[in-house]
Amino acid sequence: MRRATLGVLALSYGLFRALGFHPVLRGDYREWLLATPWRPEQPLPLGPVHLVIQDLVLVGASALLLLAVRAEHPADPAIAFLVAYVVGSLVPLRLSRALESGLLVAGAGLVTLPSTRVGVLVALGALACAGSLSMRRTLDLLRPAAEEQEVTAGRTLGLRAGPGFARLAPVDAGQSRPSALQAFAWSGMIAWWQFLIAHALSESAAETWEIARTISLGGTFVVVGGRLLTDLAGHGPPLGLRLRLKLRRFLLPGFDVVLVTPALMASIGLWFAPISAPVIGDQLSCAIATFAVWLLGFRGGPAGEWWRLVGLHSVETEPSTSPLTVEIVPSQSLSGEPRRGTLFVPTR
Amino acid sequence: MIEAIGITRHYGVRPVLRDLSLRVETGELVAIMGPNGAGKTTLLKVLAGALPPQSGHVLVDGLRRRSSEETEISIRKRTVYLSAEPWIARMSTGRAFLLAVGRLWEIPDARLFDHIERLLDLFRLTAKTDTIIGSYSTGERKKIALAGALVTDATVMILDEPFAGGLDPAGIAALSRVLRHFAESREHTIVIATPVPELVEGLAHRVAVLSDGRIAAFATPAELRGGPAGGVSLQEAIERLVSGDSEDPVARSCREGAGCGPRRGCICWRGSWTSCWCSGLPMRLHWNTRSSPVFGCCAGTGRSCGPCTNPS
Repeated sequence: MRRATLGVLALSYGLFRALGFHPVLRGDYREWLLATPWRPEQPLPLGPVHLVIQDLVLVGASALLLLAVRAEHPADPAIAFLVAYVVGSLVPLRLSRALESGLLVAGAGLVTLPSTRVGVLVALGALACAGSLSMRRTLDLLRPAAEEQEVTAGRTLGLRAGPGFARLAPVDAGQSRPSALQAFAWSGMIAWWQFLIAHALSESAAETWEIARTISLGGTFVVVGGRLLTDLAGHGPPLGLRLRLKLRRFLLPGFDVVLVTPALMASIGLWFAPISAPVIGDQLSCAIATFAVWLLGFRGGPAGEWWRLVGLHSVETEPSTSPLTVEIVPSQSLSGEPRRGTLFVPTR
Repeated sequence: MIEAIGITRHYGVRPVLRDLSLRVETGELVAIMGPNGAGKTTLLKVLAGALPPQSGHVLVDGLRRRSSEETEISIRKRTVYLSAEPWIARMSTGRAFLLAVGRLWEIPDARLFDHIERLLDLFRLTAKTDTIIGSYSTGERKKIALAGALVTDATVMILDEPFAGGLDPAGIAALSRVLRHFAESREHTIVIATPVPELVEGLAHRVAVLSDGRIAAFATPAELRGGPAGGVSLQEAIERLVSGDSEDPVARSCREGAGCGPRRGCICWRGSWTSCWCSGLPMRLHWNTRSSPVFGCCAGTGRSCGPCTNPS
């Protein structure tokens, strides 16, 4: 009972330390702060957002308390505190777009590997220290220049202006693709978590393959669909499929180039793992397939700017996208059931 | 300067623009006119870079559209396109919308704030500045879209039916004033499409009459009036140009009231007759809005269509 109470208290304290008084999360506090001469290098009026020695004293005291009453696992409150702090710190880190949020998520997977509590505590401690150091950087978001940059971000402007203006604007107001480093990190992390989940949930080699393959295929489906949606939203083909066949213009290189990457991603997702598994192993083949598919999804050609500006697409600037064509014919000239899309004009 | 060279564009297998070439000089205001379905909107979309032509290309200030990222960005910085029914962010307030559009065109904030105030005042939208656009009336939405086009400070403006869309007389007058000012200053290159000749006279330097996907005439309004038609109104001159040899035989037959048998009808679009059909010959009507047209039968000949009635 005492252990559970201490655990809940430690969890709450960890979340409170990460989220309770971070200026990025509290609008009124942030606004007040920005009206003062405060700079990110200076201490925060409501207290630091990173870990300090007082935290160690509190968590250490709880562990000593449990040790004094000869409890079974005296390190549990410390583990609870560190888990809560690491998870909580992901929110401001993500909001401030710090790369560390990704690394923290990737690192959290390591905690699932050691089998002893001490190992978990050490891994969590290292992770919390890294997260704590990164939390300082989130305050850079409060620099006036950064604030301005946030306000004028292309996506925000695009949403406010609406696609009618955003799609033909000189500034990219749509989804900007991640940098090569970000894409590499995210793809690696997805493959890493796929590996960890398959490792944690499976009890046999066959089960590992099944779980890893399911995650890999599901991910391929999502990323291929997402990629097609991103590229084709508001940028339609200059000729429909039926018309292409009718006009015998089977290939439109300026437009079809956008379909090459999704096709490649689908091929890798479907075929790479089954082909390479006998050589490099089930887990590794699935992880590589997932990594490659996501990396292509994030960074595969054509580049977003090229496609937006030079691609052979029709840009939608009006709410109604496909022109409705209505054929008006005197009703006497028609026989049988009315065809869909045909309106009849009354005749005398 | 905008130059369209050998533009061909078809929807399906129906050609809309046929090997069309057009050159609008810097500082010129050109009105594109023609009957419904002549290809006005398609031409404007091609000029704006929203639609790739199947053949031919467009030059803006000597730069070829979609030739490279750098040239396209350079063209987009100086160009704004406003479609007939622009897609604007309805959940945004009027001011936030104009601010966002101005920033997309990288207008410095100091100038932008001032510019927005003047535009809101011009279109009498000051009272609705901080109201979400979704609550605006149709005409007010058109006004805010026009203000959005003007706030960009673009020197090349491509406006599809800027006077349509529920604009009230004050809005039409305000827009006319702005366009006249631009036309007189000779700093802006403007292409507008409008079916109303009265709005074009005294505003446009030249009028391009589009018929059957081709330029039937490209001259000043005065030249068009005093040309082959000889001292007629601009509307009449345009009608005669359009109803030349290239005129649809069904439409001509209806217009002249000849050849129509007992079966003839008119198509009413937004309260005005747009074209006729008769004698059992089929005729196609194309439009691209969500609204439905109203159909009625004309009482007299094709020339004098009766009042617009809904047969239902």
